[in-house]
Amino acid sequence: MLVLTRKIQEKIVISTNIIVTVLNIDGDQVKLGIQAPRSVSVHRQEIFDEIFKSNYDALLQKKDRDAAFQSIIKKKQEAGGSGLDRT
Amino acid sequence: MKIKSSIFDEIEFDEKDIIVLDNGLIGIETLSRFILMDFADESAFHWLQSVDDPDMGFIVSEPTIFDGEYTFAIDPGLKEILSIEKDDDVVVMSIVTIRDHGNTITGNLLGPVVINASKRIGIQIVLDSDDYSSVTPLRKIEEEKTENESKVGCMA
Repeated sequence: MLVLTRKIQEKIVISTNIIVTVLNIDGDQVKLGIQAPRSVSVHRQEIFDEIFKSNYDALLQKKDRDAAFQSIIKKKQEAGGSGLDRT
Repeated sequence: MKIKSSIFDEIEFDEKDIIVLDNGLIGIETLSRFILMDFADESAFHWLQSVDDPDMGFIVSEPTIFDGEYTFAIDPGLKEILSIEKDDDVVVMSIVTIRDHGNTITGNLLGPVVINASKRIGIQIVLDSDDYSSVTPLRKIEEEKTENESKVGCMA
């Protein structure tokens, strides 16, 4: 890992078009400003991990598929839904 | 165009029906081309079938079945990325997870998939909001039904 020391208002440049600025430091909190092209997505790591995990949890393969469909149908029927014809 | 899926036996579709999620889904960048399919009934749930890996797919739904008040702003950057010209082109889907051996259904409202339906391109975004969760449980379908009925009533 590259380690750089920066002061408030100092910047680092990533590639040619991503600029990270240290805006403020308050105790153990650092406020960063990030300028990047719109096509570059920037996320807090913990949120990224959460969505990543959620996507994997949702990804279905054949073995899961029938059970998943059944549970949706069951939920509907429990709620007094129309009851589906599954042939 | 046909793909052989182990999930549905064989799926036939037009190439123009393919929705391209340019960066894939977060963490699953290898899957970028999808077909959005309806279930046989008029369910709020749909099936997002991967074209890149026919054995893979997601259940998705309109986010409002999880939260009737669900709303977020489409910022100019997102409009540009998806070439959105009019609001009608925008379709928002939540990825659905079946948990707890089918007893719990949750929707990812924090990381919605935003699609430009006319250009058939989309992206999964992450909302900068504490109001929404990636594991939002399905609210009671009874409530949803009542709401839908009253909506129909208003329109009539």
